[in-house]
Amino acid sequence: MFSKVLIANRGEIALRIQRACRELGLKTVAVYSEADADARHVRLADQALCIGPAAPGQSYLNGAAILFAAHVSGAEAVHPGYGFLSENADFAEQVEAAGMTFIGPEPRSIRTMGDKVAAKRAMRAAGVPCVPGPEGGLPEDPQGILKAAAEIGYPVIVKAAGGGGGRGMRVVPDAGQLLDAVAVTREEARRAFGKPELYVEKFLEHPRHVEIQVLCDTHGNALWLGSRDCSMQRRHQKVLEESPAPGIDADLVRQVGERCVEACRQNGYRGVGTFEFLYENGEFYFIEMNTRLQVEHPVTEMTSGIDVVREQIRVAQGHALSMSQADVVTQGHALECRINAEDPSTFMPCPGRVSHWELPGGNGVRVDSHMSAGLTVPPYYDSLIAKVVTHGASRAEALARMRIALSEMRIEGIRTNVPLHRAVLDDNDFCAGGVDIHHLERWLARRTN
Amino acid sequence: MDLERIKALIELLAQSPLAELELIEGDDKVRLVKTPGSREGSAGVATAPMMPAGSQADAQAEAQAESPAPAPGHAESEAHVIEAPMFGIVHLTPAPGEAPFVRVGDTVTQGQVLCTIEAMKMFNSIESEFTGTVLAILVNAGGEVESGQPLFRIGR
Repeated sequence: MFSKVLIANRGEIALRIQRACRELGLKTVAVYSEADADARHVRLADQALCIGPAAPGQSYLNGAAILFAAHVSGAEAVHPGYGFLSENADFAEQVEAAGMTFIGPEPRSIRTMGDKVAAKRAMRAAGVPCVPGPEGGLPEDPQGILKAAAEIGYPVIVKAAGGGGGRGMRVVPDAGQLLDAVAVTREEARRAFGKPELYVEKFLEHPRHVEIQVLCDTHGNALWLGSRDCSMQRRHQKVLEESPAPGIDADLVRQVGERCVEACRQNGYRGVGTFEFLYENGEFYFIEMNTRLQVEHPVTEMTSGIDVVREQIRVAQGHALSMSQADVVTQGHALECRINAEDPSTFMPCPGRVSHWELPGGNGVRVDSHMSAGLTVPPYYDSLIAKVVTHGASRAEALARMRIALSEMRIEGIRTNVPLHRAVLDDNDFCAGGVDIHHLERWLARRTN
Repeated sequence: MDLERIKALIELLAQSPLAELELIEGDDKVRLVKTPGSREGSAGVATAPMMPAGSQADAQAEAQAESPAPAPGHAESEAHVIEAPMFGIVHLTPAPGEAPFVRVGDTVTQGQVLCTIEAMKMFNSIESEFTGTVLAILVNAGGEVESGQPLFRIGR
């Protein structure tokens, strides 16, 4: 069982993982790029090693440098966080080949879920509801392609098997545009993912994004920890998340949660993971599984009372889960606003030095952030600088706490999307709950006009 | 940098045959430029706390050097500076290994892309505000640039 963990990430999530490790009495090794030498988790780590220049390709994405750092520091496990190498099956394999524990699922699970066609096949087999469409990839011949789409009914969406997270997909409104769309998407997929395989699904026009958090040990126990609604998105990037997904029948969520857990058991999944669904007209449709910790995990922690990161590390150590599904009781409602260093109206990234940094607090308010006054937000990485999370007995209470929290927040020196969040929290449709994935973009378009 | 210090620098410049003087000490930066045609001893002064290695001062000094009746036929006096609109990483080629967007001596038209600035995985094209000739590239490929930092000098 490992006692020293190398954290192969940066920013708020590196600090979050470090906190969980310290709580468990584990030693931590921070690896950092030259741009992050002043980071808090670097200072607080038992050991810290610089692994390269600021550019992520030469540091946080440099698997060889990270493995070398793990070797020289004597780390026995690697936590990849999210992004960077967290869903890289080859890296996970190299970590294990080097005799260390990869804090995540087995490489084969990452590989299966990374291939969207294989993932869908595995989900169907476990009875997880999927978006209507043929099993397997699209054929090469035009007649076969047209037939597959016609059987689904237009509009359809053509997707790359190697894609995900909103990349490599094209909506097709009618048969006349199908073959061109397939040709273009296939070429994009070949270039972007090195894999031209495509598949086709029914295109849902007004779905919500609802996801299920799972937690599995290596003793055959698997739990689901409630639902999250991440429909507030801009360009496929989540902006504001909540738990539970409002206004969905609890029995229906439970049935879907149980199917997810069954899929985990059937596939020998270990660690934490997220099943992402589209939800429309009272039905769930699986879209993909993320085989890692997610940015929005705190809303689940607030409602379930379970420390998702701590449990993730414990199951990686080989411990059996100490609770059963009956012990998982969610309470109240939680919201998370992702605070980004960007212009609140143009969305232009805004790296730079933070001169003032005042955070909110109080009952039911949690802030996960690595920033402080005087630090610089580097231009090399994504723009997330803080997650403001509020919890209340009801959704209305969580919303009220979030409004107060954001009114207290003061960040100067750089522009942030705090004003956008403040405005969104006054939007009647959002406050009513249950908006679809296009709502934020429609709202932004109206605001501009 | 205190006023006394700047005054002393002005006198130093006035008594010397130099046309301009630039001094950087830590975060402070001062640049003095003699106004062409004016009597000995008066120098155009621009100073600014060097915010992040900022070049607001540079740009102001540049403008001052150019605006009062530039010497005819002097190419440098017709130069315009393209500044970085944001903090980020400057790229002088569209992709690694490809030919640069522009080279010194190239003729560029207004709206032509000169470089990209990368910030948080987004690439922002920086276009020439002028039609003219690239006189100088003032930054290194792959380096960080501050908002307001001069990138190119374009002669008209």
